[in-house]
Amino acid sequence: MRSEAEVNRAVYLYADTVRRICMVYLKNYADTEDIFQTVFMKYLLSSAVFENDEHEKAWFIRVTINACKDLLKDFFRKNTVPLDEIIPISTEMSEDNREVLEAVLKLPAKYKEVVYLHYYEGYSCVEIGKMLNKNVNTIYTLLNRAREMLREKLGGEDIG
Amino acid sequence: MDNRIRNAFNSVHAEDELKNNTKEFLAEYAVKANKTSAQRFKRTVVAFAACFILTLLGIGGWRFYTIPVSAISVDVNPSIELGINRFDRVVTVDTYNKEGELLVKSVRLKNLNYSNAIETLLNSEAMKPYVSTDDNLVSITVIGDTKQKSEEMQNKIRSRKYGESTNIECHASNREQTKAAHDAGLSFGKYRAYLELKALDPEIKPDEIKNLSMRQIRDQISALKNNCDPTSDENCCGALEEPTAKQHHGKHSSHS
Repeated sequence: MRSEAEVNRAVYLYADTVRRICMVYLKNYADTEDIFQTVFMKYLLSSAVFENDEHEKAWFIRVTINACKDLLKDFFRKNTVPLDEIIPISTEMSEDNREVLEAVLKLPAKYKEVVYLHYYEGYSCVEIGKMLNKNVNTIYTLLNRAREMLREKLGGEDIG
Repeated sequence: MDNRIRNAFNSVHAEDELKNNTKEFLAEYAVKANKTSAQRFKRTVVAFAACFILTLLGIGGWRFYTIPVSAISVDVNPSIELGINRFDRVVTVDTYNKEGELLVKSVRLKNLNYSNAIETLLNSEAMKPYVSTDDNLVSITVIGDTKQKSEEMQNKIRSRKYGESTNIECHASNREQTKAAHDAGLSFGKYRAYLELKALDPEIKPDEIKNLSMRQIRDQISALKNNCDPTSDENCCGALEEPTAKQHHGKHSSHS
C-alpha cells in the first residue's frame, strides 16, 4: 500500500485529468466522486512501478476510462436516468470554451473519448487503439467522423 | 480547432471539494486497512502458534501413545511379543520364530486392548494347529511397568477364556531378563522357560530350545525334575520359582 504523501501527490498531479475523463463519460457529480475514489483507491493499493511520469499518467487515464465504463455497464444505471443528469460544465468558463466543450460532450461516447485522447492528451491513433483495445483503423474512422461532426457544429473550421 | 478543444478541456479542473473528499476518504481507508492488516497479522500469528502447539501436542500425543511401557510374550510354538502402551493397547508386535512371523501376518493385533489381542491371537485360524492338539500349552508372560501393573495384567489375562487353548500358564517376568532373552534370540516368555530348564540342565543352550514348543520345553523340565534327587545335587530343582500361576481349564488340564 502506498503512503499518504504518494496519494496526495497523485491527487495533485492527476485530479484534473481524472475529472476531464469523468466529464467525457459521466453525466453527474455523484458518479464523478465515485470514480475519484475508485481510481485513487486503486492507486493507493497498486504496487505498479512507473517508468516515468508519462507512464504514470497513461496508467491513470486507462484506469479512469475503465472505471467509467464499468460504472456505465451497471444494469441499474443502464436502465434508469438520474434526476440530476446534466452536462457538468462550469459557469465560470469562457463562452468559446463552453461552446466547444458542449459540442464535444454532445457527441456519442465512442467519438468523444477519441477526441479527448487525441486532441487534448495528444495520443496518436495507434496509442489510442492500444488504450481502448480497438483497431487502429477504427480509431482513424471514429476520429474522422468526430471531426466532421464538430466541424458542422462549430462552423466548418479545420481541425488538427 | 484543435487548440480550441485543448483550451476548452484545459479550463476544466477538479473541484477542491472533490480532491479534499477523495484525500479524506483514502486517509480513512488507509487507517482502517492498517488496523485490519495489523489485526490480520495478529490473527495469523495466533493461528500459526495454535497450529504449532497442536502439532506438538499431536506429535507428543502420538509418541505418548506409541511408546510401549509393558510387554506380553505369547509362546506356544509361535513366539510373539506384544508391546503395550499406557492405555493397554498393543502398539508393537515382534516375532521370534518363523511360526510367529506367519501367524502375525494373518491377524491384526495393533491398537487392540491386550486381552482382546491375546483372545484374537489364540482364536485365530492360524493358531488353531498349535492349540487344538490335546497337549497344547500356551505360555503367557507379562512385564508390567510396575509390579502392580504386572499383577493386574496377569489377573486380567487369567480371567478370560481363550477358545480351544485349554492349557494356559501365565507368569510375570522382569525387564532385566528381556535384554538377555533378545540377545539369545528368544522371546522373554521362552527365555524364562529356558532359564527354568537351564537350572536343571546347566549345559543347555538357547539354540537347542529355540524351535521347541512350550509343551516340549515344559515336558523336558518335568522329566528333569522327576529324575532329580534333591539330596544328591543342591543345584538341581527349585532354582527358579514355579510359574506364578497356572490357568487350567478344559479337557486336558492334567498336562500342565
